[in-house]
Amino acid sequence: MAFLQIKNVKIKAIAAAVPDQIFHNKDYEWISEKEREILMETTGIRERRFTKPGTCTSDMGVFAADKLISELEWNKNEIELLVFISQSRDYVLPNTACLIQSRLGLSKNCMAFDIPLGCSGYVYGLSVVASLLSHGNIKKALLIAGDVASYDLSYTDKSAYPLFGDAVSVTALEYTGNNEDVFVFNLQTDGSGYEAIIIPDGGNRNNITEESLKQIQYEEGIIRTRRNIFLDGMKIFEFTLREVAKNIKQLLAFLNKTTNDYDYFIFHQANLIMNETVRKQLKLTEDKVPYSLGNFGNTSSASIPLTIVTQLNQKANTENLNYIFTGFGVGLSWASVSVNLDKIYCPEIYIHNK
Amino acid sequence: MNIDDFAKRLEEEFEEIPSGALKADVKFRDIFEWNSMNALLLMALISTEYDVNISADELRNCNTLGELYSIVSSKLSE
Repeated sequence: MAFLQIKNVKIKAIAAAVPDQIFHNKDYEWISEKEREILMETTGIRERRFTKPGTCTSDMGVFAADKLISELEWNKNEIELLVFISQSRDYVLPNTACLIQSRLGLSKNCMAFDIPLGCSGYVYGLSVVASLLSHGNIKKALLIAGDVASYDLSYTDKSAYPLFGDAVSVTALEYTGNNEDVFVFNLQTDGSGYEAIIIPDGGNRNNITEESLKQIQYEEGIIRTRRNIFLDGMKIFEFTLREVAKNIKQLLAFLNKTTNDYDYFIFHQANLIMNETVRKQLKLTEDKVPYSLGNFGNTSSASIPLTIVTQLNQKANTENLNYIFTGFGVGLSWASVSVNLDKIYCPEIYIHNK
Repeated sequence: MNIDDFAKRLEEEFEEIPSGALKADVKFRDIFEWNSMNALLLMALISTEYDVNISADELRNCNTLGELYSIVSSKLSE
């Protein structure tokens, strides 16, 4: 089991940005009004934010990171690590993190690279950034995580279109040298389930051809191309029920702790019925499991920080709290981390309107 | 747990099932509108209520309530 204990590093700030354009699922005319009601009730997703065409995840990321850096009064020369977690990169190559380093005006003495994970990406990203910082050579780091999912969605696929929203998050981390600052991770993978969430064409396995752009009807209400995202709802559900609570229980057992030792459990925002099942499996009370999916949908690797920013930012700013963060999905990849956040800087959500 | 408790719990969860309609030999897909959402709700209920997980394939292969019950109870005794 990939348990990882990392000391001497802490989260200094968490910020998130969303586009100003709101799309309400009650206006999703591809399906009947009754279907829309059932959809909103079971998934819990009422509205999402979409960027304007042409806006990349990196545009929102640079906007949010610039704002956070200046609010923290960080010296840009001291940021020597930048990791960009995203499945919606600017170019096939180079890595988007390189472009962001330049656009933010960070020093050339800055490590910068992408990690193209989705739902589990925030927790995986924290494990990589915290690990690199823990050596003590690099003092300050930025983790930018999020996606513009709207590019990959087919309006005429009712099984995917109403679920996703665009968002990005920025997390600032610091080397503290304090042994009591501890992250403990449980990181897992099962690539045998890679087909459960997939965009089949556009990589080297299936290059883009004319076929890739053909609209294909798979089921009633499900029409998409092979460049759109495909979800096997049943397989994802089965995986989530089988693995997610177990991953958290293993982490708690490793730490010799119980759920009572934690103030909040921040789950990746997949959909309400799935997340509520995990909450009930762990016998957690509702007040310990906040949601942002009602207003923002499934926001991929931004979902955990976005939930903190939109649901807990007053508390995060003023209180010392213990959290479990858990991401799960595409890969299949899933991970949890036990982390203490002591009065971090957590500003109100930033709205990106370019 | 016995099959009557199991049937009762399902009837509570799915309001559209008429009370007392679920019996061991009843094909549960026949007595209320069966769709993928109900399949997910059923998997969720079994997971949270009985602490066992049934797979999508196992559910797909079940026709009657009795078959479903025997999968759940065999997993319970594992």
